[in-house]
Amino acid sequence: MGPHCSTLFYINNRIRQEIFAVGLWPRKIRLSCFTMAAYLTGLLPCRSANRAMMVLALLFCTSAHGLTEVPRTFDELAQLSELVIVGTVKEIRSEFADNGPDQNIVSYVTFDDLQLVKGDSAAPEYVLQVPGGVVGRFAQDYPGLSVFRTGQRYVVFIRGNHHDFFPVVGVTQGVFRVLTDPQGQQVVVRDDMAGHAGQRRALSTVIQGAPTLDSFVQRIRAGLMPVAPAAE
Amino acid sequence: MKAAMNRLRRPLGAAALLLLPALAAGYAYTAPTPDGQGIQQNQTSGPPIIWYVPQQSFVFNFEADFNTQAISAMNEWNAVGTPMQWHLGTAAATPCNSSDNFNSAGWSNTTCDNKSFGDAVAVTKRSYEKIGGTWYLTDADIVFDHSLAWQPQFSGPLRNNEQDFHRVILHELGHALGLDHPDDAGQAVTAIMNSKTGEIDSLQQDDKLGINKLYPGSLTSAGNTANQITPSRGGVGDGCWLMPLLALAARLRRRTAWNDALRLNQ
Repeated sequence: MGPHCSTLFYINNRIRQEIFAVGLWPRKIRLSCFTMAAYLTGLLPCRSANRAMMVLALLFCTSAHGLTEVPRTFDELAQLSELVIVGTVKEIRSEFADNGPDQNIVSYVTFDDLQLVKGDSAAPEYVLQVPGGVVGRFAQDYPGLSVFRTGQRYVVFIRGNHHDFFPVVGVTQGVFRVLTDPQGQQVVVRDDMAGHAGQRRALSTVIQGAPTLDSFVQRIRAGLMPVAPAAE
Repeated sequence: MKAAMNRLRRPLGAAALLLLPALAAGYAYTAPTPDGQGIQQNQTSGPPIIWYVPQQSFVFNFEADFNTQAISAMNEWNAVGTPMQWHLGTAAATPCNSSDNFNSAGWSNTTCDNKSFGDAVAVTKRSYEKIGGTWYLTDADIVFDHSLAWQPQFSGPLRNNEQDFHRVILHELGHALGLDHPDDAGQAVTAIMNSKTGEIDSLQQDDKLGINKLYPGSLTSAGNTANQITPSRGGVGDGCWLMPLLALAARLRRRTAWNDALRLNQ
């Protein structure tokens, strides 16, 4: 194993950790993607075991820096949110907002079957107000925002509901979809990695290496734990 | 056999690497839902939703240096040479005021629905209307979070706590054309339209393929040239005289429907 391959092995371990930390990839990893492709295709020597890891890593080659949204770490998602819910979209209702000549359309997304990971709410349902929607022959959208689907189960890091433009920490970064893997386990994937009606990545690809819902929730709660003071 | 495979592995690997970008070409756009009743982002096949008239004006409400960068971004899209051409509007128009019949962009302390930006740094609002059974883009407005530290333009890697206005307006004008994020559609391509692009600060091949998909046909084959605007040149470009009338008609239709919707809610 050459020195470059050793470096990549380290990077792969970082990627494995980041996959568990739900896909907030360090930018330097993306810079290595082309090199990893070279190893994978045999242009550069590398162990088979490492190649297998790289296949997984390449699936997640992407930058950490959003163009139009403030990048957030996973712990920031947990800490900055007012409420973290696991819930299923029961209903989406759109209407023109009564706020003057701008004629904005807003949608109300109702979640039920709630599991509260952070925050207080005794209500059996939670309604999230998001911009855009369809009213009759009129529609409005905001490119890049997560679009919720009826019947889909999500984990959502909520902040500023009814106040913020899109009341999710990190905009799209704070929306995760709960999917079921072939073993029947509930796993969690980033919303922009998951597929709808075959338009995005194949389900088998998306859920590969995805954390289970239980471990994901534990990870959130661990991020909310107060840090113990350093020993004197 | 195994030896032969081993001999072929590296050349095949090299060929695969070279072919990868071409195979991965995959812009994304907004299209009607299968039942035609709504719209859906991040589509890669089927008919896209585009502007009814492929000549649109845009009003920029920034300071001089930023307006220059916005015009430069507009020119980059125009230079692709599709029939869809941006023109510079000079009327007084502010972002989000749908009553002024202009597409516009500017600074704001809130988004178009009077909300806090949250973690968004710039937001494009697109409006659509179904006309004769087909969805069309009818309005686009872009607002930038004024509270952030914006630089008119810098090249290369992004900087901490500093936003490059040029690459963001270039990206947002792509949205105003009808393009979405290819990476949100599961595509792995190099594009200014990616949601998570860092170092890219100009149009890439995939962006150009995308606008050609939305507005097929060559502008130059019809004897026209791409509209290139200089910052000192004002006025709405050729072919734009129709837009205010169309926009007014759309406005009247929207106003009626809005009033109807309000009545229904009361």
